[in-house]
Amino acid sequence: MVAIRNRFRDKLEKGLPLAAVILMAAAIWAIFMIAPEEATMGEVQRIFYAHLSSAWVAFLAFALSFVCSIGFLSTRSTSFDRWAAASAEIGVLFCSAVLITGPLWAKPVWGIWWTWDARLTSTFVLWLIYVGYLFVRRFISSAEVKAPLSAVVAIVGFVDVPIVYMAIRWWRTQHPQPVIGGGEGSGLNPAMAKVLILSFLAWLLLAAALCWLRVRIASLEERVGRIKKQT
Amino acid sequence: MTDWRADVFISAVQSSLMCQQFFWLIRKDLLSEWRAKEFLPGGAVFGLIVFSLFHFSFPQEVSRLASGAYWFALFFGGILGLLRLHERETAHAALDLLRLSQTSTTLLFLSKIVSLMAILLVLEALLAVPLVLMFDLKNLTFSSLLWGALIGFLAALGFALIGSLLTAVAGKSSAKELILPLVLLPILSPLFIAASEAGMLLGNPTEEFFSWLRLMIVFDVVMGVCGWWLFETVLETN
Repeated sequence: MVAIRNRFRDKLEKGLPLAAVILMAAAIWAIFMIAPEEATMGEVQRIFYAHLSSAWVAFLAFALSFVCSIGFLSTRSTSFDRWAAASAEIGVLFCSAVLITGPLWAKPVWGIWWTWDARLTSTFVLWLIYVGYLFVRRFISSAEVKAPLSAVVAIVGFVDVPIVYMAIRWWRTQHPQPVIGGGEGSGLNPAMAKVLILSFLAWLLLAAALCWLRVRIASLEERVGRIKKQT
Repeated sequence: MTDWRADVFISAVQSSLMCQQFFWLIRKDLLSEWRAKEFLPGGAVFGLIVFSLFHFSFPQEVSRLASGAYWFALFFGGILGLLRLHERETAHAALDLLRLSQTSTTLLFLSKIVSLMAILLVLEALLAVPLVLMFDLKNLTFSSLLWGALIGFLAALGFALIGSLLTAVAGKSSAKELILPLVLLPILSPLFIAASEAGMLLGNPTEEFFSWLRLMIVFDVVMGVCGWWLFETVLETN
């Protein structure tokens, strides 16, 4: 049973990054070759596929970190803690991508790099909260102390985000309304929608591969730590 | 005595003991601050420094920025104070001893909130006077002062709720002076925004003013539930 599990894990370890790379290459090709040029913004709009996919993946990663933190506090299983930490790191990575691609898109379209609008500010605060979470993990050396306390920060931080969004929702809104499920007048060209779905799947697979590898590294680090203690 | 009377008597005695414990815990924290005189004088002087820096940085818009400067001074001064309070408590192992005495965690949490709020409210009152004088705030009516007091109460409550929880978290790290502001300030940002915006609308409490107040209440309720749920985990972690 253990042998089968190990073989499956080894295959996943090699297969997942490979599949992510192939799907990413396909998505990038589709973004530049299949997606039609947007009528008003032109070529620069192609950054939308990377921007939106990164945003969705970042939110999913933070949600996973939140769920795993609750899981850790309920069960005290270290595997929950490893997943919470890994998904928070991946969330910060993809949220950074959102905060970089956003201004790159905004400058030619809005004429400014940044504005303190509801969507931008809440994303930025979300990024700050999880950077703080990573600092907590970095500066607490003992694993027994680190895991529960970082779970506390992850839970409070995630719960805070909808309130941050509300706190700034009365500010002027430069960011466009959601293109999917945004009500009347929203929606995407079918070709664009297909490329967006492909991009999202590619980004998601990349995040899953990175998260999986990060969890594996954390688990190996723990094993090395245990062996060091024994010797 | 019949059974139900005995039960009522026992629960009345237990409640009275809990109330007594609660007031002793608050008294301990306030007496400790009164003797040390660190949080209030430090926070007040820090607030004056912030006011003067704001004044020289934005000389044209000084009265418009008064609310932001006030909450900036209080939140940053509050963080410095929180670190000192925590330092004092850990130096004398007060929390560990209280837990050994089997004091309930909820009671400990509540007493921390009340004593921290009391200190913050005094700091708010101390800084309100120089704020009015230095930022040349005119047209302050009795009703705007009352609304201001309500904003001050809600802000102090939110700060105390999440501040006491995260100070206990940061206190376990090797770099608590760095960790506490990095974690606390982003989480406090909705409270800071709401308090600053509501403060700017004090003279004219429109629907927008009440929406900021509602947001502060939501923040306090959510963080109160989180704090009550997670405080025991933080205390148990050593």
